[in-house]
Amino acid sequence: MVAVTDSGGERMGKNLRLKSARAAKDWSQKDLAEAVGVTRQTINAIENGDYNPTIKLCTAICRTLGVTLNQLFWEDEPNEE
Amino acid sequence: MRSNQFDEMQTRKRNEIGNQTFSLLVILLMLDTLAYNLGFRWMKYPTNVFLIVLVCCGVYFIRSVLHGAFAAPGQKRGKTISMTLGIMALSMAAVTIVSSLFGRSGSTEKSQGGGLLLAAVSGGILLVGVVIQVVKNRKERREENK
Repeated sequence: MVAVTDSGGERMGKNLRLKSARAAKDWSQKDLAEAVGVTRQTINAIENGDYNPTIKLCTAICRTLGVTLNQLFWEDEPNEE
Repeated sequence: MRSNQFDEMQTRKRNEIGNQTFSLLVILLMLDTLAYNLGFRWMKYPTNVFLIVLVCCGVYFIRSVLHGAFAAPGQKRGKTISMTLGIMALSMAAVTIVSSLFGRSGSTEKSQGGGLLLAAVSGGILLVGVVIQVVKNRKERREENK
């Protein structure tokens, strides 16, 4: 599992970076889901922070969108802000 | 990722629903046994067991549909629903026939009622599942058009 929760293991927030990367390509959630091979609900759940995807799915999404894992799924540490 | 297989979120959800439904089945069967031992016979055997199993299957089916874990991403919706309807219709027929066969040779009204009850419960569960799927499809189409 990719570390997208904070150090306290709290539920992660929305993944706005994924949403904007998708929007940059002018893709709907359905388009991205079909390209990756998952359901639209899965993409929606990832974007809303309701589901923590495996590394396999994360890399598949990044490969499809042409971005790196860090760009989409890495959370900034609080002391780095 | 192959789209004719369930994706990871669907698989996780199905496992969760399956585990919970199995636990529910065990608990209901144990409660039924307890009630029987206390002298309370709410329904004749084997209708009581069939009904408990049917209810649990219905719970699994409806929850799977609700969480979008019923059909894989690549499966055609119409084909999935038709297959499901076919399987459930066959199951209903099988349950009704078996339940009637278990009754006495001069079958009483009660034992015929058991088969009808099971058929009615099956039909009800099927109807609820279809309604939920239709509502979800409409909601999906609305969300896709946003």
